[in-house]
Amino acid sequence: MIEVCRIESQPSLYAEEATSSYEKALYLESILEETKPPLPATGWPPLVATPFRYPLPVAPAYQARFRPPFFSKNVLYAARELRTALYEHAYHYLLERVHLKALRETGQRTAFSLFIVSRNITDLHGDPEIQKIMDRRDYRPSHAYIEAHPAIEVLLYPSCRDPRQGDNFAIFDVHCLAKNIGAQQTLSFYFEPAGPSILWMDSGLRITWTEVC
Amino acid sequence: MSIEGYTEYRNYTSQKKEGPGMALNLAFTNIHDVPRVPPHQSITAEQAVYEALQFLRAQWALSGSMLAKLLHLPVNTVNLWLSKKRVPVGRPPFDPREEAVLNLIAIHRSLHAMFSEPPNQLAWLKTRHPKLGFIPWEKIQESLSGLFLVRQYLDYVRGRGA
Repeated sequence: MIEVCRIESQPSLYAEEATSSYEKALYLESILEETKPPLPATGWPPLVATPFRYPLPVAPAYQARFRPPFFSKNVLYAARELRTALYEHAYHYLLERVHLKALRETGQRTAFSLFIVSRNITDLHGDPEIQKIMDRRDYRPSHAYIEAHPAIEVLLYPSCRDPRQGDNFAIFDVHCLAKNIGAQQTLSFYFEPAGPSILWMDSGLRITWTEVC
Repeated sequence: MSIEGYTEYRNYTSQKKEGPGMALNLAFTNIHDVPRVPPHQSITAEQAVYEALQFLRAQWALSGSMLAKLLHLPVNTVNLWLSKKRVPVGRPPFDPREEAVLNLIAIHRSLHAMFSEPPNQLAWLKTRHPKLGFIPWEKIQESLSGLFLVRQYLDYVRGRGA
């Protein structure tokens, strides 16, 4: 079993802020849930199961490194170390802000650990094409790789966002993950639009867009 | 009301479960005994949806007519809801009008999670998105399918870390 971590933004307080009673908040969350695709399996916490609920095949707008357009599987991405997850999260966070004239803001995210139970892990570190597969901008080699190996359950690969190239995992089946989650940690951050950058306040780690793009 | 793209959207949610379900995200809590979800079409349910729309209106400083534009609904319908302080939403499967209301609230919910400042939520909506190739605010007003597309995109990118 391998312990890995992810970082999430939690919107669960939205309904409580938007409504005047707990009952109304409960209803609001419930009815919004009914407008989403179903969770893929029972027994896994929503934090683990949610990445597997997106509609398939993958729509071109939602392609990612190991999610080629029209691919028939969803993917949960996780990192072995929190530091790597902070860089990966920073990339996706800044990607949605780099084009904006946005205000400075602070916020919180939640890091949590989860567990890979599958032993069928494919390690890409020794692959002769690893530099191409991990290109920061060109996903064609990684798409070609996963399309050539569609039966892979779990991929282990070096992060291209973390300067130390920490280990990342791509998990293609919820059954490869344990039904429980481990430790959780609230992370505070500060967003600076000029740059732009995100400062993870607990660790003092500032990550600029140019470092991860 | 335009229902362009509605079939496509129904495919997105086609396997959803029937009836109200346990949906409050309790992943980070140890709470197991929670109150029952109020039934669909109850006064509490209709008030809950109204309050969410009002929350959205206040944060984005929307007039009733602008809200109606985003929902692809007649202004009179929206103003009637606002004056009665209730939004009638039935039970699944929802009709296009109900889907529009719920998806706009879902867009606000996602942006609220992504950006703590409402001006930043609006900046995201009103700026041309380099990956999507359009201005989300305009896409939402174009058609119901545009509204659903923006909602789906936000669901996805929020899961990635946005």
